[in-house]
Amino acid sequence: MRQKIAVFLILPSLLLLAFLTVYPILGVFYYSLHAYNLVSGEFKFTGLNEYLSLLKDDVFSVSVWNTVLFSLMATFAQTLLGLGVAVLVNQRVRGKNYIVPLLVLPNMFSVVVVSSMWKLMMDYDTGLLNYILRFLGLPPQAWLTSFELALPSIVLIDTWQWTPVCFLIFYAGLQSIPRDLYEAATLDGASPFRTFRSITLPLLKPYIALVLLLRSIDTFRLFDKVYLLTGGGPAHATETISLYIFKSGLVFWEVGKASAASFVMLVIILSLSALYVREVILK
Amino acid sequence: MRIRVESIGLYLGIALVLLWTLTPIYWIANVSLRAGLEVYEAFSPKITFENYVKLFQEGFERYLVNTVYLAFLSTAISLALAVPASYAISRLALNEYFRRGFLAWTLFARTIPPIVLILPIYVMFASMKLLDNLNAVAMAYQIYTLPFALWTLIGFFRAVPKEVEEAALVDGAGPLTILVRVMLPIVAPGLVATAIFCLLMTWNEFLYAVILLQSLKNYTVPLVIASYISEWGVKWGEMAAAGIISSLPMLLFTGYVQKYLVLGFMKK
Repeated sequence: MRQKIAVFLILPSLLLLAFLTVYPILGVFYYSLHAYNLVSGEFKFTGLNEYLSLLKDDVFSVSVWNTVLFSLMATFAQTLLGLGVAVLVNQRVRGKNYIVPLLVLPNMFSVVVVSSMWKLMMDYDTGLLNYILRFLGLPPQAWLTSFELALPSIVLIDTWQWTPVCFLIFYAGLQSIPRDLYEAATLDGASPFRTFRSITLPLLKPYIALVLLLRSIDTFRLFDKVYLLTGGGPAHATETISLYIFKSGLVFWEVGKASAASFVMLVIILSLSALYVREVILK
Repeated sequence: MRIRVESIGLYLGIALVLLWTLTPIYWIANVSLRAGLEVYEAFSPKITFENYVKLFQEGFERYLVNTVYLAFLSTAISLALAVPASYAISRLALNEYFRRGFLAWTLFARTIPPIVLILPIYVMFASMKLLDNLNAVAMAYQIYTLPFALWTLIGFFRAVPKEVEEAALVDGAGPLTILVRVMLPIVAPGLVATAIFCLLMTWNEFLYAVILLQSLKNYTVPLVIASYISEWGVKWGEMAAAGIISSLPMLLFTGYVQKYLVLGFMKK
């Protein structure tokens, strides 16, 4: 009886979750084996043909490369910065109760608002960043429209928005380390650097693993910022896999091709997901 | 003397981090309160609300209503499904493999890039004439809110001490009575936090909205802001004002939500 009630309570969530994950994953795989165009109505089984044409598509390989590059740069910048800020704030600092909420603020804004903030700041003529550069006597930069700077600029924006979450996780980790460990280290005459390396870092290891996984999974899906700020340009410099799927599937309506790209993306992310699920549930 | 140098360095470091954190926020507020290109009079008291007025003259309230409707509907669906399920998963007798599998799947669902799942959903909605329909979007939004709600609520239910339930069990209460009478009042703060996060997630959502909504009358606030961003000859002032308005609910909740911010990612 109790078992029956449990099933009854879980079933609706289970069904909806299946509809939203299992069904689309199977669907995407099924579509990827077809030449499927939503406008012409073409729907023809072509086996692995769509995957082969992805291999030959330079824009796709560029977008995979950009995605990996972005994910690496953003994940490391955010983890490092988050750790640094957490160590800083964890010292004896007055007014912590006001500082921490202020530091978390960037993550309270939506991607769209964050993008508009930085569009304002990075505008060539009226933006604050170039105003500061000119003020310092440096040449102004085309932050979002130059081939070299566009992707790093997006990294900068993402880092502004997401360092706070890394900071909070590390801060929680630091506070779980018993104070007397540090007191003992100070008594033994250990230098701050030595204390950090021998106490803080080893004890923070699980938190660092968690942050690295979370941020690489999340940065890998980069869409909104490039869609809003660069559209993948200039010259595909900020093209990402998500944007590629969006354009090929929902702008050019080649659903077969977009599905193949989706499936490739899913397979890549699966290894990270598996690590994350194992880290969080099994340990 | 050494201590003083160190603490000066410490506060200088924190000041720098605060400057980096707060400048973009100050800047968008500044632009929203200036007329035209007076943005560099950043500290003059000559502010104006004309950007905000213009926004509402152009019918901004319509988008606010759409966004509120979508956020509340999605959150309500998620909580209605996730509360009983997460209670059962965390408290009732279940096959251990099933329990673990369900948890793993919930977590896995949160790691799938949303763009990967949208094509089959789009095709299905198109064939059922559900595109450009706010209620259908609320269903699609469950991919964000349902796994999140399940995951956080399971954590809150697990944190309730077993004894609380046992007392009720002795009195002969069934699982449903225990859920409603005993557990819900205890996990209420967690429930509120979960609801707020779901509201914020859907309030801010952009990707599915831009794919599934088509006509201006159904636009959400993020879509309108996006149209300002990508427009030729950007309407800076209106874009900034819309950004500020859409962020107000979040800023309101910051204090309450902050201590829960990391819990959605952490271990159980």
